[in-house]
Amino acid sequence: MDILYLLIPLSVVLVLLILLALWWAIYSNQFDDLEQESERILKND
Amino acid sequence: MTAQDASFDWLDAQEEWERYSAPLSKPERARLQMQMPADALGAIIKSQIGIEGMHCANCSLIVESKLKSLPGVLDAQVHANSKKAHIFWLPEKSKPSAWLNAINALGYQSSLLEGIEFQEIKSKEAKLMLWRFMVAFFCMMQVMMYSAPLYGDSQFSMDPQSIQLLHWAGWVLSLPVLIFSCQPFFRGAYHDMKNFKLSMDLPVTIGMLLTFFLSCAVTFQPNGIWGMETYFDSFTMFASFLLGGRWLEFKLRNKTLGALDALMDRIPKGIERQITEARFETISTHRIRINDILRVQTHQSFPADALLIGPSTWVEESLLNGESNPISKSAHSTVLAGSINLGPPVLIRVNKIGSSTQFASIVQILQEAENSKPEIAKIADRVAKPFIAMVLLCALLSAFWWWPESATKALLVASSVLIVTCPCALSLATPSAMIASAGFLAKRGVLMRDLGTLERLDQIDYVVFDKTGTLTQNILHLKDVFNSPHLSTIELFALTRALAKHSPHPLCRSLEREESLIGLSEYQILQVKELIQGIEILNFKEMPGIGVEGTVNFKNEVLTLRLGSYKSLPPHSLPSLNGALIESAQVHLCTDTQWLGSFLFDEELRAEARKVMDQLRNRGFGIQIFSGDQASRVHQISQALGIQEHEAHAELSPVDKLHRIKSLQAQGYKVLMVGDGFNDLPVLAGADVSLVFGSATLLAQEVANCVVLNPSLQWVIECLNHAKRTLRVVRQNLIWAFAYNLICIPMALMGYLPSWMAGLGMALSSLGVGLNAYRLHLKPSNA
Repeated sequence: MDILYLLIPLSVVLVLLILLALWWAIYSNQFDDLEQESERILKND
Repeated sequence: MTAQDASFDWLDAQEEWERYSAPLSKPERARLQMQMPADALGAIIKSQIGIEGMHCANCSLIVESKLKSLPGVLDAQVHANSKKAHIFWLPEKSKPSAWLNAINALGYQSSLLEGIEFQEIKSKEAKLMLWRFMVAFFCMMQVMMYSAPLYGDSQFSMDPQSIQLLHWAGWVLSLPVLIFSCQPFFRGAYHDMKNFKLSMDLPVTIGMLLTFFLSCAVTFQPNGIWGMETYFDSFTMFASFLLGGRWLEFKLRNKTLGALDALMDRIPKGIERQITEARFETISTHRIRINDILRVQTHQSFPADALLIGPSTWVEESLLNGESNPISKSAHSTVLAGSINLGPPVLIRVNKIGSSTQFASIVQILQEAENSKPEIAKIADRVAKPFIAMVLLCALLSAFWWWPESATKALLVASSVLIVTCPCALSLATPSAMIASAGFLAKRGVLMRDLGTLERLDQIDYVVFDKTGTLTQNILHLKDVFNSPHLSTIELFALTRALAKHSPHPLCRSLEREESLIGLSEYQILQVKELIQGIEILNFKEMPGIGVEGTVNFKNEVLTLRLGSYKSLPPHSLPSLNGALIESAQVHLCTDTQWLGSFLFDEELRAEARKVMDQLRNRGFGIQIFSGDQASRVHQISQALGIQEHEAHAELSPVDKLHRIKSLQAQGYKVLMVGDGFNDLPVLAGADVSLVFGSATLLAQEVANCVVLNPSLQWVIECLNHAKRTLRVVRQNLIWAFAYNLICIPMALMGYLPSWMAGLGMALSSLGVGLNAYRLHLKPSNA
């Protein structure tokens, strides 16, 4: 089970990357107004 | 005279729109810099607009594209939910009146909206809260993955190095949660300790720290006295659920507050200030200075305590002293801020402004009453504090009890006790339900001024309705016109419409409509309009409950004209008109000596009125109708609605109405008053709960507890139903919170509650309360 010594730290790094992506999403206003943005696609022009 | 009629030009002055604007943040500036036209020199301004009438996201997209297409506008962001828009514009190329008129032309009502800095702060706060929650949540998920292999008896079958690896990984990912996500709890606990107060943050913090450091000890001293189990999973799960709950509550609270303050007090009201003898500028009430000379129009409220320069007028001070009788004011008398000018436009000199006026102190008292918590929440708070103290004590005692047996066990039991008890469910029970409820209603166009209204609505057992404008439609149809031989029909219409122009009363508004020019040919209508141009009404006066009055120079004679109910007529001057008058709503024009003409209206009941009355009766509510109208009219209406004789009262003055409500309250009833603000302001203030529709006067909307934007009486039933639902949920929440604590604390004390179960229990109980409250956001499955 030596592979665990690679995999587990790798998973920690993965979680940190995910948190980074979440930080970008929140602070670039992706979560601000979910309903309106979804309807934007349906707009006519 | 309504907010919509006013032009927006006065908002183009920089001193005006500055209040509603803020500088750009760096990322915003960077983003927009690229869109600046080459010749632009000035700075980009960001302003906030409030928009009413957007029903869906599509509406907001329409407004957004319209705004972006205007010259000088670099960007616009419109949010349907909060009814706000942010606009990024260049002052040298664009003006507020341009955008506001454009939005209104699309069919919405717009205005500049205060509170843009507040918005920025709230928005940053919301993002930070969400971020903290997300960090805790994702770390929790991964930490649970590391803990899962260690459940059960795998501890004994795995090699110690792998176990150590898993512990270590759990520790690494718990660090961000401890250091970053849990900050609000630590800060709260620190404040509590500094000020010797007790709140939920203290046991939560102690429990969290205990769990975390115990698990650290196990991780770094694997063969020490602390045992072999880590509790990082409990710790992170506990933190994420708490943070999730807080984030949800924050969102709900903002949604409700956003809807409430979009309506009133944030919208700029203009007043005319004198610059020279003949020139006036319109400014917002915030810019008034002492010794300014202002002109206050008919039906405008005085924005400050002032000295009346002239001419003499009548004022209504009902908001200040409950007296609905107009008070005569002549030159050199004082007028008070908040009272309404009933007479002609007057000039005043400002004495006191803002917080030093009597009005401001009354408003402050009203606001304090509003901000005070509902009774039931206060009780919950009172219980929560000693509860927390008891919990801390229990934890300490249990630690001492178990220490001799094993230090680990002692610490674990103590932290279980701290974690599992949930005073937060207790203090969440009421506010979460109230806020969810208010938010649900706000989305449907029912605005509650304060959370205590829901509680009082639940206790209502008597409903009183105003007649005109509430039970009947707001707009009346002119049915018949009679004129005296002294006057032609054209002259009658011209004089009446010229006088009616000055009053917002529903009957006058109906007279002003195009459709009211009945029985006239096209040519005659033109003649009427031409004649009106030449008529000037002076000394306009409104006499509540009776009618309006003015003097006019007509055919070389100075006449005192009166337009109003039969009470305004000189005695015995009304011809019989073949009994046509008995059944209809009527308005008469006369001088002080003779009758000139009568207008008969068809008063239509609102379609849903009968159904609503029946429903109220079936549910056991007492019903009454108060009206200032004649007995025969009221009798007719009450027959149509199935209301009995003794429950309908006619010919009441506003003071009579108030007395009747007070006598009902003296008998122990809790009264809901449904009105429209015309001649019933003091009653709205005196009832236990008052409800008005969006078509009511602005003052009534500020005084009433509940403003319903959809003009249907069915909402009275909906509000009452919803209040009952809300209080039911509150009671359920409180019972659950108590029962849960009663069961879990003994279990924890006796050591039967492992740490993870404690964390789960605590989180579930808060979540349960929150979700139960969230049910109030969903449509009921049956009425």
